[in-house]
Amino acid sequence: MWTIIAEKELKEHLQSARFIVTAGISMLLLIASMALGIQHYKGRVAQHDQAIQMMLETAAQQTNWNMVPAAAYRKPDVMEVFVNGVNSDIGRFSEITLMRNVRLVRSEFSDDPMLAVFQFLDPTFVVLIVLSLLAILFTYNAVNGEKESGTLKLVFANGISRAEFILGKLAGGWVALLVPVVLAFLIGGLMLILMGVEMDAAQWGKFGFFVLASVLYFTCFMLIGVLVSAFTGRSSVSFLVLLVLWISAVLIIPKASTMLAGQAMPVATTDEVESRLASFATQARTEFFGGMQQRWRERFRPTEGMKPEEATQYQAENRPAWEKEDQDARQEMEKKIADHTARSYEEYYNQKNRQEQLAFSLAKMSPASMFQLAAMKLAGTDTGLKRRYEDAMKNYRDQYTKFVQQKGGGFGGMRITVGRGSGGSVSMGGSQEGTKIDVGEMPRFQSPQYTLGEALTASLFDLGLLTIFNILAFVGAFIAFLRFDMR
Amino acid sequence: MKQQPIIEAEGLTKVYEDGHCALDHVSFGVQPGEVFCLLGGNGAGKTTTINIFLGFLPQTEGTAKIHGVDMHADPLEAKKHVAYLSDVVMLYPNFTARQNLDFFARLGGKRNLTKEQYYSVLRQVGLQEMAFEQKLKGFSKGMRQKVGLAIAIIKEAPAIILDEPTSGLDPKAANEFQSMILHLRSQGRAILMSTHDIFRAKEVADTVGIMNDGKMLTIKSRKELEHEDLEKLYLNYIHGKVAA
Repeated sequence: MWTIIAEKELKEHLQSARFIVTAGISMLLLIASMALGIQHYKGRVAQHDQAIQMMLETAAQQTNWNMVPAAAYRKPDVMEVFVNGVNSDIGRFSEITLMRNVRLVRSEFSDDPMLAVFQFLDPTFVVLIVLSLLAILFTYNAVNGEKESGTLKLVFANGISRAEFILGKLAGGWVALLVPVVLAFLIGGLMLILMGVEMDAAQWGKFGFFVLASVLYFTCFMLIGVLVSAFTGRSSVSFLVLLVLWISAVLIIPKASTMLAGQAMPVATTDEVESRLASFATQARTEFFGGMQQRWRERFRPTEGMKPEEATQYQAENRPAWEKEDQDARQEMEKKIADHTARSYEEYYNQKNRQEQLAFSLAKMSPASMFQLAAMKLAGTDTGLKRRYEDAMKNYRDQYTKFVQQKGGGFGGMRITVGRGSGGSVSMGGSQEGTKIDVGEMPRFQSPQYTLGEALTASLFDLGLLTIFNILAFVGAFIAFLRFDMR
Repeated sequence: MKQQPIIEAEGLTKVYEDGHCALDHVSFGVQPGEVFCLLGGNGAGKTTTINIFLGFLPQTEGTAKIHGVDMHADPLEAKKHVAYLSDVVMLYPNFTARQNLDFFARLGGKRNLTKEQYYSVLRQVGLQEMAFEQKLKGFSKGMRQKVGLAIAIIKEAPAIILDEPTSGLDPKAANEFQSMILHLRSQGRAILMSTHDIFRAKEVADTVGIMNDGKMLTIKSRKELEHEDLEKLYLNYIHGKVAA
C-alpha cells in the first residue's frame, strides 16, 4: 500500500507547476554554482602556478641565496568548487623569513572586499539556503493539507494503515526532492570532467560524501516539515512555524553561537598577540644590550692604570672568552624570545580552539550548522585549513633554513621565502660570488595532505549528528502522524 | 425475510474526555439497496456517527459494523467493504480526473483497470468527456463531487457513506447527484447519508433517522413518511414537541 502512496506523492510533485519551477531553479542554481566554482578554481590554479613561476624566475637571477624572495603559496583544491568554506578568508601565501613567523596573508576577501560582502554562490550555499527552503515549501502541508482538502479521509476510508501512509508519503516526497538534487550534482560532476578539472579518487570520494551530506541535510528539513505538518491542524500555521524554525536554524543559531562563544571566551587578536611579542622582544634585547654594555665596562676596568701595550695584550688574551660570553648571552636572549613566542602562540591557539569548540558545539543545535561543518571538513576548507598550511609552512621554513645554511649562508636577519603548492623557494646563504644560484636545488614546499580518511574522520561526528537528527525527525513525524486527528 | 444490514450501529455511544456526550446509544441498520438518511442540525451527532463507521474515531460503547465486520476490532478489513464521499472533495488538484480515480481505485484494491474502465465510471457519474484528462484544479465543486462519487463507485463496495454530499452544490448539480444516488441504490448498495437538507432527504431516503444532541430521536421509513410532513416532524422532534 505504501508504494501506491509513494507513487502518488511523487507523481503529484512532478505534475505540479510549482514543483517543476522551484526544483528547476534549484537545479539551475546548483549547476550554475558549480560552473562558477570551476571557473574560479581554474583561475586560482593559474594564479598559483604563475606566482610560483615568478618567484623561481626572480630567484634564478640571484647570486646569493639570501636574496631569494621565498614564499609559500597555498595550493587551490578542487573541493573548493563545492565548499568554499574559509578558503577566501585566509591568506594565499606566506613569506618565509627567520625573523617573522609564518603567516598567511593576502586573502581573496582582503584583496576584494566585494567578495566578502556577498560571499560565494557555491553549492553548499545553494543546499544550505535554497534546498532547505524547498524542502519545507513542499512538506509544510504534507499532512494537514490533506486534511484540509478532504483527501486524508478519502484515503483512510480504504484499508490502509497510518504507518503505510506516512511511510509512502515520506518516501515519495523524498524521491521527488532527491531527483533534481542528484541530477544537478551528476551534471556538476560531468562538467568537472568536460572542463578538464583533474580529480583523484579521494576527491571523487569527498564529492560523493558531500552529496550524501547534502541529501541528509535537506531530508532533515523535509522530515521536520512533515513533523510540524502532523502537529498542527492548519497548513497556514505549519508554514509559519516552519519559517520561524528555518530562520532560527539557518540564520540565527550559527551566527548567535559564534557571538556567544566570543563573549563567553574572549581571545586576543593576532595583532594583539604580535604586538605583545614585539614588546617582549624589544625589552629582552634592551636588557641584553644593557648587560653587554655593563660587561664591557667591567672587562675594561682592570686595564685602567695599565700601559697601552699591556692593555692591548690583556684585551687580546681575554677577547675570545669575552666574545664567547657575549655569544652565549645573545643565544640565551634569542632562545628566551623564541620560547616566549612559541608559548604565546600555543596559548593563543589553545584559547582560539576552545572558543571555536564552544561556538561549534552551540551551533550544532541547528542541522544547518551540522551540514556546513561536515561539508567544510569533507572538503578541507574548514578552520583547520589555516593551521594545516601554517604547520606545513613552518616545517618548510626549517627545511629551507638548513638548506641555506648548507649553501654557506645563514638566516642572520635575512629573509627566507617559501612557495606554496608544489614548489617553494628559499633565499638564504651565499653562493660563490658572481655565479647564479641553481633554483633546481631549492627544496620545494609540499602542500599538506588531506586524505579521504582524514576528511571522513573529521566530518564523521557532524554527519553522525545529522543522521541522528534525521532519525529523530523521522520518528517524530511518524509518531505525530499516528496521533494525528483525522476528523 | 429481513436481510442482514450492511451498515449496522448497535448502542453506539461516544463520550469525550471532557465528559461531553456526542453520541448516546444510537442504533440503526442499513440494508442492501437502502438509502438511510441521518437528518439533524449541527452537533446532532451525524458526523460523529460517520467518523466512527470510518474508524476515524473510537466509540466509547456499542459496535459499528460494516458488512458484518466490527470497525473497531478490524478496521482494515471493515474498510474494504465501504466507500466514502465527504462534503469537502478537493481531491488532488494536480491530478486529472482519471488519475485521481486511478489512485483511489488502487487504494481500494482495484489494480490494473484499463483507461476505458475509468472512463466508463466517469461517464456513469455524468462527467463531461473532455474533463476526463483535465487537472482537477479547474473543476467546479459539482464536477469534483462527480469524481468523488466515481471514486466511491469504482471501489464496488457494498456500503457507501456520504457526508453532506450535496452541501454547496447548485440545484442542478444536486439534482444530478441525487439521481446517481438512486442509481447506486438500484445496484443494491447500502447507502448511509448525513444531511441537514430535509428536501433532499425526503427525495432519496428509504429511511430517515432524525438526530439531535447525539440521540437518535426517531427512525421513519419512506412508507411511514408518505402521509407526514417531514419538515414539521423534524422540527417537532428537535423542539421536543414529540417524545423520542
